[in-house]
Amino acid sequence: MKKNYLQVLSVLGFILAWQIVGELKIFDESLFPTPGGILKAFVYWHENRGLETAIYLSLRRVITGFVVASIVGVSIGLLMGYYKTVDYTLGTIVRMLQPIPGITWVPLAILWFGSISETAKIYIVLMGAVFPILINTSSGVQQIPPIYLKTARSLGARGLKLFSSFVLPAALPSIISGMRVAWAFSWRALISAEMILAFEAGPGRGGIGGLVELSRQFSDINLAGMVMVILAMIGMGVDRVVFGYVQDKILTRWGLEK
Amino acid sequence: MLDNLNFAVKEGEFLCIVGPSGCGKSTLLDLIAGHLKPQEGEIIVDGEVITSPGVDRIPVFQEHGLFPWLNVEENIAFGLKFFGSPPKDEREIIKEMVELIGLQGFEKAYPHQLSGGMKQRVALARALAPDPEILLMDEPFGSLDALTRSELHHEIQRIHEETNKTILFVTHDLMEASLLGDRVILLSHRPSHIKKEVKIDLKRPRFKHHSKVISIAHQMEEYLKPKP
Repeated sequence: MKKNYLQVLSVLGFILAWQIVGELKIFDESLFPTPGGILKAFVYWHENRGLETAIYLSLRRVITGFVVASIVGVSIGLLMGYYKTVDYTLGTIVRMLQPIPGITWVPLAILWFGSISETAKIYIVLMGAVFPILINTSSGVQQIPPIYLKTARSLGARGLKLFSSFVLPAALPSIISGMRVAWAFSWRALISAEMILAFEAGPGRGGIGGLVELSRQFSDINLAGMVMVILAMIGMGVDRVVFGYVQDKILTRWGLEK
Repeated sequence: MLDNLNFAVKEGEFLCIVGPSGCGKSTLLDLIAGHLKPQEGEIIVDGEVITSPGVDRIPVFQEHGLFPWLNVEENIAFGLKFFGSPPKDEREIIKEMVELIGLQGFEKAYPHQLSGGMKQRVALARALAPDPEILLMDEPFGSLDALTRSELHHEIQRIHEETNKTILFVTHDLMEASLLGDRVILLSHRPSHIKKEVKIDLKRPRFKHHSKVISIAHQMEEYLKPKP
């Protein structure tokens, strides 16, 4: 509990110190966002400019892309980890595509899906998130101790059932850490995509990345600060609450917790 | 590694295979389990040539190999999921197995919460649950402390008595072999061949301080010594 206490205290202290530095007017107000200014931006965008729409749309895009990436990444990763032939063939292509940042796919996504389509943005999230999941899944499978594999096969596990009741759970810790990394990658890809593809009409339609682009166009430093606060809260919240919980549960069950 | 190894096992027999480290004992069990294919020769169970793993032959290894994501019950039930139709009620088999290994009350425990001896008992129950014809045991008690080990020596004799399974038991411990085996096959260094076969006609349950058990172990040690 001491840990939680210190964590809350350090965040509050940071906000307070930040506001004080702002009040001292050492920096030009248009160059230095303050907690107070950001709060005003929250109120303004909530009342007039579709803050909720932006958050909702971004969440929908990022979650859709992330879920598709998880399904694709885990399935291919399991096969790549288990079958050497798949690793040498498909795996080679995967390792070739892996270093390409998700955002590089923007021109192709525009041509394939159209610049204002949801699919284009989801596709970019997918390309940003799929590789960490894929690579972690396949290395998780490769690290399954041979004795587990011998045991599972001796007990009659074959084909699809071998994957669903043995390979998948055995690689799960590794898959979850891959998904955790991929969650952060998804947001990077989405925000960049939304910044570039912020052509939609209507308040908030461009998503959170669209707000970033607006803050740049209007040199609105407090709007930029507001976006950072939103992203920090969503990113950390999901990482801690969802992934932290799942990972803790797995580690405890396996008897690996520190 | 294995050279001209030829032996037969009878149904219900407890056969121990003893040899120096690295003589290929584990390889032999892997061959019988179907994880390896012999370069020459055949392994035949019930008139059929072995080409892949099968639930008629289930191994138990020195490391228990319990799946850490499953609890005791789920580990025991693992092999039951892969039958087309379970032979009888799954719950019934699990209950029977838990009783057989004396772990009532630990059904929901995860492997990391169990002691070494308990883990090995669960591994044994998991291997027995699908009702195999042969148990392949590869130094199953090799990493246990002396006390737990002799406890399990009693258990495996009792379980053999109750289930009447054929057991192929690999060890490098001559005492263990003379304590457990109906018959012992002594292997030589690589390339392994059968140096001697010893039949042990002692009443069960046997105890390790029993003078006949000890004298048979000493006798087997003599057989294994290189001739001057």
